[in-house]
Amino acid sequence: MRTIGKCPLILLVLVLLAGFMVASLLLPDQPYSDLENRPLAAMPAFSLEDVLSGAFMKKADDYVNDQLPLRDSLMMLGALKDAALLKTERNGILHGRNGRLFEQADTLRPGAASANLAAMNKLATATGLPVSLLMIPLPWQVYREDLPALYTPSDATALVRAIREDAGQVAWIDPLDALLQAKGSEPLYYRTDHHLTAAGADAVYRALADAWGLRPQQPDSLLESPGFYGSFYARAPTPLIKPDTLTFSLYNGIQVLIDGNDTGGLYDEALLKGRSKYAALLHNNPPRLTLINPEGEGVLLVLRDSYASAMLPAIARHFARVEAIDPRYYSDDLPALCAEQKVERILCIYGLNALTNDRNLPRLAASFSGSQR
Amino acid sequence: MLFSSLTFVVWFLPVVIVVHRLLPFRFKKLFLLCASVFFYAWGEIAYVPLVLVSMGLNYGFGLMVARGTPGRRRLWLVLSVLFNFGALVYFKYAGFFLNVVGLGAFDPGVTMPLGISFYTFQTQGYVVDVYRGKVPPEKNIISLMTFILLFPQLIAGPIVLYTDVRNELKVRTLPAETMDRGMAQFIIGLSSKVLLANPLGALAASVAAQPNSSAPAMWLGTLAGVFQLYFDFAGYSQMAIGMGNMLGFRFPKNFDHPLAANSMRGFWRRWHMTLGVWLRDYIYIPLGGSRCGRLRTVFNLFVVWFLSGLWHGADYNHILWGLWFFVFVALERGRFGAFVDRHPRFGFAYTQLAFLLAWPLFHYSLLAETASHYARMFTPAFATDVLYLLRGNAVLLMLAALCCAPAFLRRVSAWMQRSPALRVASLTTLLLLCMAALVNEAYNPFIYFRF
Repeated sequence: MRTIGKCPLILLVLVLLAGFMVASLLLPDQPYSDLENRPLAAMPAFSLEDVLSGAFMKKADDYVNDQLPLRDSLMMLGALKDAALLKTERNGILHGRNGRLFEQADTLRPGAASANLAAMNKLATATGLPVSLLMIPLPWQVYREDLPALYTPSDATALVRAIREDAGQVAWIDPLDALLQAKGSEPLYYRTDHHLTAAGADAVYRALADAWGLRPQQPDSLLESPGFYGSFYARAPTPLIKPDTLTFSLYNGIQVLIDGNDTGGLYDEALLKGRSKYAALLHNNPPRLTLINPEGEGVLLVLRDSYASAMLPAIARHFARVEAIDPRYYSDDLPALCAEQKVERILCIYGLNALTNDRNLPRLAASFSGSQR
Repeated sequence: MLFSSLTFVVWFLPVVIVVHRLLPFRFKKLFLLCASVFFYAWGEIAYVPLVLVSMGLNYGFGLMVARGTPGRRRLWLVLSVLFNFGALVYFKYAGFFLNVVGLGAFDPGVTMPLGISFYTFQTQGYVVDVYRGKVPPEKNIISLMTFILLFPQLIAGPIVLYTDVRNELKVRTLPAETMDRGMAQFIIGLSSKVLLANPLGALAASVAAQPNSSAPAMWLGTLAGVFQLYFDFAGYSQMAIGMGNMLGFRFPKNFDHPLAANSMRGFWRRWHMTLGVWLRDYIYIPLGGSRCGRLRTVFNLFVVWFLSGLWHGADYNHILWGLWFFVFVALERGRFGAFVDRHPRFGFAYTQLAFLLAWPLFHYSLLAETASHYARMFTPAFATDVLYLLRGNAVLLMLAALCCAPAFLRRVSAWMQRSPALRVASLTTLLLLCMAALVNEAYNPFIYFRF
């Protein structure tokens, strides 16, 4: 007891750290962090080469970090510490009003936008087909009033205007006004995620239908799944934010194929059970997804990011076949696919973020060189 | 390995402390040496052979400068300087010097060994001390290598001299109270780094990265940068001193509340004190110090501040950073100094403002970046961005300011002494908050890579 009296702090700290060590050794490694929606580092395999290059040590640091016992609780503690300091930003995520999270948006730049638009123009020229771009705004463009008080984001209107100058022969469809008009009691974007809710996707779909002169269709039913923690939440988990309810407009009579195999439905039941539920929609961004609607007419090629998942079933209502390609993951022969399926129209669905950051579309467009119809 | 990493805090440090405490004394030194080499190798394995060879050679230099004729001893001293500073120049300055003379094409492009600026000063200080007869040469190579490679002070100071730890290398005790105090110092240092320096550094970086930051925002960002520099550097030193105490070594103090200093001379007596002492003892005094007339003193000061700047970074920016302080320190040797001493409030304001204005020179390595930072600070562009920055960081900035004030820290320390339970509870909470920050807060830089 006398020793404890002399050095209570070091004893307590060593016991605490020993607890972490023992728990690290005894508890099985977690392959995935549900809270952060990412795979966790595994114990690195020992190799002399990795040790000599220093790669082993880096991997080991990541492993210790990712597999720390009570990691989730510590993250929550960190979020509470920041809240106590009245901070509104954590890991690039803004903690806005009405329990809404946003990605930091004070340094938006055109980045890859002009290369992407050049790629779309190249597609139009090479295929001779009409190409449209449906550009999904950032959540704060619609819910600006929910940004933290005094926060000044980049001037998105000026940015979009600058990007649009490169549109060329691409038909530009901007659903921002439609979204602003649709604002009501139903949220159009999730509070914890960058994606559109069913209501938001519906507003965007109507703007598209309006631009294309189509009669918008009503969904047959609505999927609702509570307990959804989105991408913003995953980057800065906090106990102070309530989860969203995932919503998805369902349309009957649409068959969904991945690599030619029927998936059995518009969404993945298993993925719906986790926290990151958006991935369940249209089976989590496969490189190539096909939607078949026996009642529709014509073939549409969609080059898309994940925003499209929420509205593709509605769009599929108007076409016999929709080929949805995610340029980030697709590496097959796109010109051959277009020719084989007799594509009649091309639609690019991109969020402003992907349009300015993702550089995969130019790679895909390059495959059309020399294959003009 | 960084002190502010979970690998270090959760695994390396507790294992080393416990094993070192339990081992019989005759094995302690060898164990510490092995642990230190492991620590170094974890961050920079490629340079372990260089560091070991360097230590071995300096062991030899120490022995050689202690015996033989004065001419021979001097020759060995010169050889040691050529080797130690030759390595430093090659790894740290070759690129810069070659670019200055227009031979940038011959830049060897080597990465700088971690901590080379620190251990070079230590090894050279040791050889000079032996040459001067201040200490006998260390006969035991394990002792000498342990002294230099001792992991708490290896990569970011303080610059521990052989005379500081010579006795402790031979005999040292590990009283429970000292170890306990060491753990408290370590946690306070870690908190300075992780809970203050990192978020303030992130603020400084985000303001600088935002091209439209208004002038007030730039000033706020610069202030945050100053706080980051202080809490990062002082935090590292505090962690080193704390770990020293847990391992039975008394390392010299390195920071003494410099952001409360009332004069530039006072500031530099309180900022990175071990570097100041080194430059004084091994450069300034051998040059004649202040004993050879006014002009010569000013010249000596110029040399010391030029070298101090160059030590902090191999570029024009850091040289100018050093010379900026030379101007004020030289001015303070005249009537201005007397005026500053008579008016401590003015002295405080001017000293801290001068230090703040020097921050861009320290932070960037290119003059163009620095010039652009100044231009943005002094262009009268006002916007509300500073209000948002204040809204989210005011509490943090206030905490940082309080932690610079000796009176506040004395009061906290008195509370802690009155209530041991409060002390243990608050320090353990701080440690958990640090771990919480380390587990997923992205911004955790190591800012001494240029040193």
